[in-house]
Amino acid sequence: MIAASSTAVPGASGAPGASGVPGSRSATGAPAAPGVPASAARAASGAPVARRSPLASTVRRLGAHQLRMLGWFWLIAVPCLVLATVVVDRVLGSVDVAVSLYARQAAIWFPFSQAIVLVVGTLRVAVASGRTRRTFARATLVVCALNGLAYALVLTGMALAERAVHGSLGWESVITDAQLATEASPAWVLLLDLAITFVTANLAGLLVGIVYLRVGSGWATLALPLTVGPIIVVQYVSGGWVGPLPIGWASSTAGQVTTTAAAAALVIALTAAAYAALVRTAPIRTTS
Amino acid sequence: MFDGRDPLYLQIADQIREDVLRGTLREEEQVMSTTGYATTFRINPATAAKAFAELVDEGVLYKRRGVGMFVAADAREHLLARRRERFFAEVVDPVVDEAAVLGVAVEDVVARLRDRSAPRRTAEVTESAAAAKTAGSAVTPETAVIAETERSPR
Amino acid sequence: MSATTTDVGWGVQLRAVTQRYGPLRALDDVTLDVRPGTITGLLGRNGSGKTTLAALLAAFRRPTSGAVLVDGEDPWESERVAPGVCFVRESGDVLDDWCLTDNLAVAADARPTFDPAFAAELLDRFALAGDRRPGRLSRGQRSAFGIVLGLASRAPLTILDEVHLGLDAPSRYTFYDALVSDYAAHPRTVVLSSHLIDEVDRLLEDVVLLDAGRVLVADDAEVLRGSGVTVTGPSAAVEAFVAGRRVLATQRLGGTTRATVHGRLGAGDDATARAAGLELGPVPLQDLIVHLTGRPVVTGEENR
Repeated sequence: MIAASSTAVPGASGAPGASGVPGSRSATGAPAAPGVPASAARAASGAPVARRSPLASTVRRLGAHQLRMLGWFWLIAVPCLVLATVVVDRVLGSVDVAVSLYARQAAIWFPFSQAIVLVVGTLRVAVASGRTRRTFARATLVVCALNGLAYALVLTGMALAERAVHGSLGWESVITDAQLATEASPAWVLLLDLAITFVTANLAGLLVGIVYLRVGSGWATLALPLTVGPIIVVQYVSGGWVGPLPIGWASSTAGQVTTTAAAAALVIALTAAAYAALVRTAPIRTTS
Repeated sequence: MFDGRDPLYLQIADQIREDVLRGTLREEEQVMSTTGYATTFRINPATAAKAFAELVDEGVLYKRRGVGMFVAADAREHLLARRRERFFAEVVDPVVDEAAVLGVAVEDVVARLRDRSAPRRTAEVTESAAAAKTAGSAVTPETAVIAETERSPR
Repeated sequence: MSATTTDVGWGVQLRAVTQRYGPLRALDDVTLDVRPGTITGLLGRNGSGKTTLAALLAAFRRPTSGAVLVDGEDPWESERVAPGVCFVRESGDVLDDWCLTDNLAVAADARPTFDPAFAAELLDRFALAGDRRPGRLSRGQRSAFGIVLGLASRAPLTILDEVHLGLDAPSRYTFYDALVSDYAAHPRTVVLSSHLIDEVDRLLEDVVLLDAGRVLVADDAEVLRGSGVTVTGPSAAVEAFVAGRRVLATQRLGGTTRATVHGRLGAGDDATARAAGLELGPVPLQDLIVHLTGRPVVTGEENR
């Protein structure tokens, strides 16, 4: 069968650009394909050219999500607290404790677990979607710290409202398991008390999450004393009762508030630094 | 489409040359763009671009910036001349080789050539005369093939 | 600096890159370049190191040793490079509990080159509903969404790792068509990893072939394709012709042999082969790669 004219002379058709060195190519290679104008293509893409801060957009997105969770939490917590007040009133005749402050533990551990899920679930997605770990670390720290603050604000507000309501009914508002703030403390001390614990809880959650990602569940569980430790430390420093340990301070004085705040700031800073350091060196697994 | 042994870009270039020779693609007509080739045949546009680059070098196509690739004014004559040069090496030689493999005598091949070209002879003579004028030789297609066949050592 | 100031895409250089997982070397002294603006195939058997290499480019991890440069810079924690590298892998790095539309928004936030209109168009082409969640999608639909993310990102370095898994043939062709037309309109560097080499063969301009963590080939795809020839004909003639050449595979059927030879033919070889009554044919890229990454194969039956 006679070949048609398409048979080229062998060897003469040599494709250009053949490199003699196995396994390496020159970086300069052939020029871009002719006839394909790059600049026109970019303009036609319609993609916004303005610079955006990935940090700001990540904070916005995560923050919106946290806010939703906060909303749900208190939507459930408030009716429960009100119901508890009513029940106690029925049973004992009066309510002399600050019922709202019983939400303190829930407000510690729910956001704590949320923060774990945040790291474990979204670090991979953040890196895969073109963000640096640095941006992710900063965004999560900001969002979780603000989350803790938000919970503290809400609970302080509730406690104050409750104080007013109790006062008008002739009841007391004793804070059981008081830490830094007692029922006699001004509002800002209560806010500081709650904020310290809640912010620490959020950040500790981030830390637990990244440790879990880095070393796996076995070692991460063993490391819990270190990673959850900040919450315990902060509560202890605030004068809370922490198991068999002796109570740090008996009552709140002006000096104690300052010392507590300083110590708490240190704990929070160390937790944040440990978290950031672990995130910024974290590899993303490709073998699942 | 494009199943041959040659690199794909050569096959595309050959097909365009074929289209120009046959008149399917006329002079000053626009050729399908690299994007068109890419999406029609599911190939890399760079492959089509490579084919175009070769044809531009040859003078078969030229580029109108911002519009596309067009067939050059004297592309057909150009290709004919090239084809004629390669006619013997690429078309006639394989005939001779194949005849040898099959055991067909040279005389039979020549006779067949004569038979086949008889009705078309007038047109060919006119054309070859014109080509001969430009090429400066007095060779007719017939005598050239016979000479080539007899020259072969097989 | 934003990543929108790209012309044709980002090039990649790897220099003596080794990636170790304990005693295992996923990549072993790899040195290669990926030319900017090309569709480069990243080919090789399972476990050859393709995904590890892609992960290094996307700054998923740092190499144990060696240098990785994307657009001239180490991609690890680079604010400039990170938004411009999009690595889509078959397991999918999306938020399973957020709907597709929200997942696209997450990508759009970080990538200045992202095109939401094109993303919407691609969702349509793959028949994906924006309000569904990835966790509820089928395997093929998840892959399709990965393709949507990868193509709509318009990232100057886009890495698509086995994104065809689970897709039926028509959807795969939709993918190839979308890739080719968008690449033609918006040039960028695409690194495409696939086992369906027959299907992607013609899309590739360059090829990187890995085998057990080492680079077997890093070259123009056309050069690789041309480096294989099949020689078919009478066994004695074939054996004479291939003497001294590197034979990858041999098939025998009766008195006829087909040998697959690695190496370019010389100027006169075509004529020599024809004279000896041999037929020369191309070797499909898929076969060539199978031969190069396996051991020499002799198959066939003697008496039939």
